Amino acid sequence: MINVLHHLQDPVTFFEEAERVLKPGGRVLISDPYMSLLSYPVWHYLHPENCDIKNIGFGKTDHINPLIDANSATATNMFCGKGFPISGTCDQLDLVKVKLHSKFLYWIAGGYNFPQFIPTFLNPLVKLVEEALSPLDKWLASFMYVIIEKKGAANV
Amino acid sequence: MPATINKDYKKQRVLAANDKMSEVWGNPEEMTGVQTEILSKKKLLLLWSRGVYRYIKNNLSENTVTLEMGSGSSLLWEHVPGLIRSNILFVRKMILFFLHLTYPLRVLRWGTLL
Repeated sequence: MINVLHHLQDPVTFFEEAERVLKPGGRVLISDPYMSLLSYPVWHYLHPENCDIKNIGFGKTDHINPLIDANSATATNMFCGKGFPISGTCDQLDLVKVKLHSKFLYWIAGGYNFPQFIPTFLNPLVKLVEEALSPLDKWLASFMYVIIEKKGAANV
Repeated sequence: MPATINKDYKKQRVLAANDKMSEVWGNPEEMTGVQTEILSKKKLLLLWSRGVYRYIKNNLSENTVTLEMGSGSSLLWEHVPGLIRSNILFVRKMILFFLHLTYPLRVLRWGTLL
């Protein structure tokens, strides 16, 4: 799920369903927004989607619009702490890996809402700088990968 | 207790500074179409996306069926042969569609959900 988890109203229900239907060794792969010192103000103040660092998912409503109803902090709240596995549920799912990525490249690209902020010929340089700053991902990253695996023999 | 969602779509529309995005804001189907067009034109955004696709591809379960949930404007299908695309809302040309809490995962047992 690439930039999808935070659009789910109730992510816990999704993981319960994923646990049921995955093969043993099967995986859930996620790339979703991450709230770092650098990225949180951007997600919160400059990005159109809702951002609530205290909760996963978002409140119940009868009129869901899947592309704009969201909580961008869902993945951070679920996977960067003691949130997963959720106590009493999903005990067949293991959190295999959380990897932070993408510091400012996405923002300089303007995302989907803004124009690109630098000329195209600087793209390779931006990518190089981005990679060089990877050790600082904890403080600078804007996104995270999450790999979750169902217990059992791999690739059955 | 989940938070109350920000329902101020008008404010969100203002923040969507891209004219085309602003025009279609709140219409999921048209938003997906515009996002697909934007992704095809913005080279740095495409560069970023391809990095994500590579990481995803390298971490799939091998030799199993993979379902992409919420494909939207994603070009992952170009990198993962046999990928089944779907969406969390109705969008034309998608193989599957579903709404938030009624996941259509009742029959098959999947190797990877992404």
